[in-house]
Amino acid sequence: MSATERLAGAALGGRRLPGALGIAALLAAWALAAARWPPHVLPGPDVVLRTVLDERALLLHNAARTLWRVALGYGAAVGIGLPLAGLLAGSPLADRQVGSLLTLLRAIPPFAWTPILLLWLGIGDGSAAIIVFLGALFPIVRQARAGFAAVPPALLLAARNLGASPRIYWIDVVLPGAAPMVFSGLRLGWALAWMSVVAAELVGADGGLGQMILDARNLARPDLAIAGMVAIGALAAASEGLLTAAERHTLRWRP
Amino acid sequence: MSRDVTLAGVRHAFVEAGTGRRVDALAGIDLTIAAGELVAVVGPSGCGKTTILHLVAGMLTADAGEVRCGGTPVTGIGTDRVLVFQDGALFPWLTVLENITFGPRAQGRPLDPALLDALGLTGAEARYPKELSGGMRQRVALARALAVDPDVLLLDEPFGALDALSREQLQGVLEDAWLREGSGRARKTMILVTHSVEEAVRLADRVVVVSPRPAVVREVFVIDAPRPRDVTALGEVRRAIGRAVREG
Repeated sequence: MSATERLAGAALGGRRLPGALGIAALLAAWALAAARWPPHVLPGPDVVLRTVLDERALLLHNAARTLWRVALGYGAAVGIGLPLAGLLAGSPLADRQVGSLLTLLRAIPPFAWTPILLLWLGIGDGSAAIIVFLGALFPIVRQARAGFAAVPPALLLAARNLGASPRIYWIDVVLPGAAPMVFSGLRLGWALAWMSVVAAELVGADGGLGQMILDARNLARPDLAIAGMVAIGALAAASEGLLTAAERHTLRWRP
Repeated sequence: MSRDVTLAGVRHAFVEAGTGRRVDALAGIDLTIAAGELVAVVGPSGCGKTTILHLVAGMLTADAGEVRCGGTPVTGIGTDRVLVFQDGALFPWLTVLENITFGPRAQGRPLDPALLDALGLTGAEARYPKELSGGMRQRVALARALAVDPDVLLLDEPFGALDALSREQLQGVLEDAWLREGSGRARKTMILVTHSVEEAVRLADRVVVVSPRPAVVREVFVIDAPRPRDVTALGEVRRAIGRAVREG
């Protein structure tokens, strides 16, 4: 945070306040609306909070299923996406041939894969993880590819001039040089991973928060559906916070 | 070991980015730099001085003619010829110490511990390039290149962006680093590209004046005054070099 930003923050009465205000306003509006509608249509924040506490075992169980699928799919997207981006950046031939394939595949929304994956793999962690993978892969590849290409040529020349081996060249120069854009891809991919997992679970999955929300509707339990939504939001926000912290730490050298 | 550098009939053209036009940068450069000699190359800006360094560094290939180092044709980038970039080209994600040890680490050698002190960098080891002044950054760039212990050091306007005071300090640092090698180890061969005639006269054994693009060697001046030099006492040769640069 720069001195100017700190001053601006102080002038607003602290940087945390505006964020807290927004959430408080939403809660107040929700409570007011809930007072006018019957609880089987719109349960209030108090009801949902009680549901969260009462159903915490169910929520935790389903949250763990969802997290596992995200971890599998996102992990594969990072593990395959970053080396693939390196290949595309390093080889014009691969960039042309694989690049056009990626453009085509990227145009298909990950959710469109759901029916065919369910047909092939059935309901389970596998098909949900693959949809997460497809959702996260393309932004990760695209941003990392652009990042690799944006490393200043003078730095690459200097690295080779100083005797960098291929391993040092890629790990200690190209990757950190591309890191700002790699992180932007990781964030975009993360957001898409969450959207994809919930969409996949809504269409068909064995457990998970998306499936739990769908079941709650079928059981006429709006409180449980909202509790599930809150859990999804909280997990996504918390994990995004972790990613932001990792980014800030990794890019602390940035001007 | 110290090595000489020779350029014989070196021509180089590049394709201009915007227009796709072929531009002749060098039109037959003949130049020999003796082993352990410090030669300055001066000339109008945009005349292809930097191209000469990139050719010796092996970052570019000559269209015609030959570049040799120690009698062997230059075929690519190598740690025996290290270039110090105009803006330093420090790795911004590495600290001062990590930048300087980059070369030794890549070659699996320890860092010469006297280097940090010689370049006035003691105490700044843990800082990132963004936290350094322009002068400090160029000290790090110089240290990073010297840490590789190259036979030939190529300097591309290394002090061009600095204020007069830092510039003078760094010229002293460079001269000391070069002279330091005289006792015991072989002195490095250095090619310094600069647009400052004063800098060239202060540091170089010989000053090579190149013409505007396409560049050829216009005139060579031998500076045999003892070091450290008082440039105010070298007004005559400075004026002569200045005239040669202006007349191209």
